[in-house]
Amino acid sequence: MTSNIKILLVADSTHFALTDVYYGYLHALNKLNISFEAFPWHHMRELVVDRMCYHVMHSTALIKEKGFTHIMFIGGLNIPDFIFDNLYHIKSIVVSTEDPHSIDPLKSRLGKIDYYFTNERSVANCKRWDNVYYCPTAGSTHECGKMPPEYIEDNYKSDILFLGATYPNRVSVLESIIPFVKKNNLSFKICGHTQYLPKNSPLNEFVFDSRTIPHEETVKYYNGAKIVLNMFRDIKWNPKTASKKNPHNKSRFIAESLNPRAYEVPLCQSFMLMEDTRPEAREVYTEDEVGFFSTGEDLVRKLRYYLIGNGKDLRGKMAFKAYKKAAENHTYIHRMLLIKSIID
Amino acid sequence: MPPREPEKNKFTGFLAHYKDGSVVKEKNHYYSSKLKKECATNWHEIDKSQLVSLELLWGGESKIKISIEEYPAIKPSDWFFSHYEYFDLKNRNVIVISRNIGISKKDHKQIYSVHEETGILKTEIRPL
Repeated sequence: MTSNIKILLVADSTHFALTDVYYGYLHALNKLNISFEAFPWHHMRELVVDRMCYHVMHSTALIKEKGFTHIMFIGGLNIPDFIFDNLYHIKSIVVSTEDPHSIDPLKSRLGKIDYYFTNERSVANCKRWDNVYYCPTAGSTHECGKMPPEYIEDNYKSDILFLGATYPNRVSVLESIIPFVKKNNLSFKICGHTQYLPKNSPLNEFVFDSRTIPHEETVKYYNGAKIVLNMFRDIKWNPKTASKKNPHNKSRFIAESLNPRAYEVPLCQSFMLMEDTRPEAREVYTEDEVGFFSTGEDLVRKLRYYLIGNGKDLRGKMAFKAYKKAAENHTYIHRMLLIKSIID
Repeated sequence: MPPREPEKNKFTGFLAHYKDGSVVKEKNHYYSSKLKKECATNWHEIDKSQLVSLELLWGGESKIKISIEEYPAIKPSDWFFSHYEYFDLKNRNVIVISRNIGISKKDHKQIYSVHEETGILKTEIRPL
């Protein structure tokens, strides 16, 4: 695949889910033989202050001998304005991952960004901007995959797994399955950020690992779980404001699209029960591939069916179908091919 | 004495299903009567223009099947099969790491690999 583009791939500054997206695109660029250099900002800031990182990033992009044509920011929320202002001939690409929850800080900069790839369909469908394109989230076949059972230690095994931040909308649904879990003596594990979980919540009993889970371990948790729950974020909620209302989506974009977990779990060939609150969920997957639930009661019903009922034997087949779909359509390589077709 | 159960077919390799319903099994290290010599594989005998599906088996278990129904626009040259192998210098033989089948799409090749030891299915995408 010959092309004249050369990309400086810039990670987000945070050691969070965005790191997975960064590595996903890094691997995709590598696989597609697209000329690039990586700028692992999240590692650099462990050594030097952010201002120094900006300086190095900007200088690296402009070194004539390197011949960069594009600079690609993963996330982009933490990039200061002056970087976008001073890129001269180099085209800027932002691959956003937090839309529509955090669209406003980047919305004001859209005039300075050459290509803005949003993870949210409703933002891309808005006719207000010409440089906004829809690039859904994805999974990496390099990072995610089926693991041999002997590689999965007992602490990664569970009947029901929820891995992610325990936002209030997720808490209420998760609490509703506790009686079912206790009655059937099931192993239910909650992993990920639990700082939003109230101290008196009965879910605290099920919190197994409250770190920022490294991706290698995430894959082990997915592989070791019989059912992985995937719930979406409440885009109206923000813990950083007094009212707990999200101030970063004033245009009130509706959340329609899926999170990366919706592709990562199937790529691990694990069975997923997905919340049926985003229109895209049923457009991407069918009921033959993943299970859907809309309320706490519905979730209990589906868990009973897929764990101890007749659906027990269906899990493997459904997970395989979902895997095939994700592997053939929803990897970072597919997304990078899409980005390349637009920027090249 | 209980009746003997039929032995399970533990075949590992791919099956080429043809339009006429016949099936060709992948063979390794066999004598080709057509070429009159010892061959590493029988891939040269597989007629891609007659293929309707490729199925990858591991220990007799079907791991993945890709068929023309899923990809109606497929051309004969789009079918793909290969091995990842290395030459074991000590024992002087070729060791298969994984067996792969796949198809070429518009701008990339979609490959499914089954690891020879564990039987784990993986996906790889290669640019064309």
